[in-house]
Amino acid sequence: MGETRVGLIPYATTIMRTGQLETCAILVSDRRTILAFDSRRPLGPRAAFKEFFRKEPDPASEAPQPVDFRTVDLDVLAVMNDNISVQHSAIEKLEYKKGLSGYSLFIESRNLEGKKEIVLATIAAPSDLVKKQKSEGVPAKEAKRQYALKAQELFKRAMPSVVAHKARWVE
Amino acid sequence: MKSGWWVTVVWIAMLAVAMPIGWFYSSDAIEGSAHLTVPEGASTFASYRVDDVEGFSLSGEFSSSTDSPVELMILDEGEYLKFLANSSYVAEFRAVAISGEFSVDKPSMETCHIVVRHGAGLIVPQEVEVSYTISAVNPVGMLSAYGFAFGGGLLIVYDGWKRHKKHEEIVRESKPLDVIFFDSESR
Repeated sequence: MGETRVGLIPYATTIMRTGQLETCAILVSDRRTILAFDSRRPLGPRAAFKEFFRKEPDPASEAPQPVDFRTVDLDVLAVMNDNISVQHSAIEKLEYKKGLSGYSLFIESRNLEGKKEIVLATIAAPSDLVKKQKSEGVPAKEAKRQYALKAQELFKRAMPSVVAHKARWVE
Repeated sequence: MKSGWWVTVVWIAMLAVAMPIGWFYSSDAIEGSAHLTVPEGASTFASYRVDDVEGFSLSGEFSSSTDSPVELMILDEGEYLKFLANSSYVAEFRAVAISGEFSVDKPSMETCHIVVRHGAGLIVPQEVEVSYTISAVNPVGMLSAYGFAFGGGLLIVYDGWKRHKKHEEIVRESKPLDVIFFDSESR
């Protein structure tokens, strides 16, 4: 039986890959969660300093290659661009909670060698979405909450029942 | 660096301002020396006035021409007046030796007096050579220099961050805005 894509969280942030703040999309299937990074360019003071001295490429190469998350091969997506992939069957602990900087996702799992791995990401609604909803009369706080709750619903649907049952969720 | 050319220019200009300030305030040191003669007599002394030491540190060496020790003191203006009036005073530095070093770090002292008198027992005239250095480190000047350099660095970070945001914008435009639930699609 094939792997089924459950949904996509288009915007989240994490410092996991390089220790600096980076944006990523989170694609969730019924078997795994993939943090797909937008580029190899982290965001932070150190990165910004490097960015200044980087030779500016022409606008055509500056534009990222769009990924069609509906059709992209999941095995390819899992390994491209240093993306992070977590098998749901290996998850030992999952926490989705509200923090100071937004809603955070914490996943603790064991890899094939039995080594503990942690995924930590902040599910923050993109500012364009918040602006759009604000213009429709939805307060910014509510727009962010709705986005985070949709993301939570996505994880609840995708996780195996044993993981979902043990997990900590936002009320 | 096409879009950030003005940042480069401003940064170089800031460094151009920062470097001379830093150089001027950190590398400059005023040196001086004095030849003092302590006259004959038990309570006689010789003194030398050093001006404009406020905010700086004063250090130096002294040596007596005889084999007998001298007493060297460093007094600020107020204490020196007390010393002259034979009332009790507090020295910033005091040493009794044939030769030695001294050092005073007192930013609030505008003027100081180097006072030399006979060490115990000797009442014949005594020659003393004193050399000193005022290390001219002005914290305000140094901070200005660091401020300009740091400001230039911040400008670079800001420019890089702005460019990164532009890149992020392009990335965002290529993605959906909201969370998507796929209908049961198998790969």
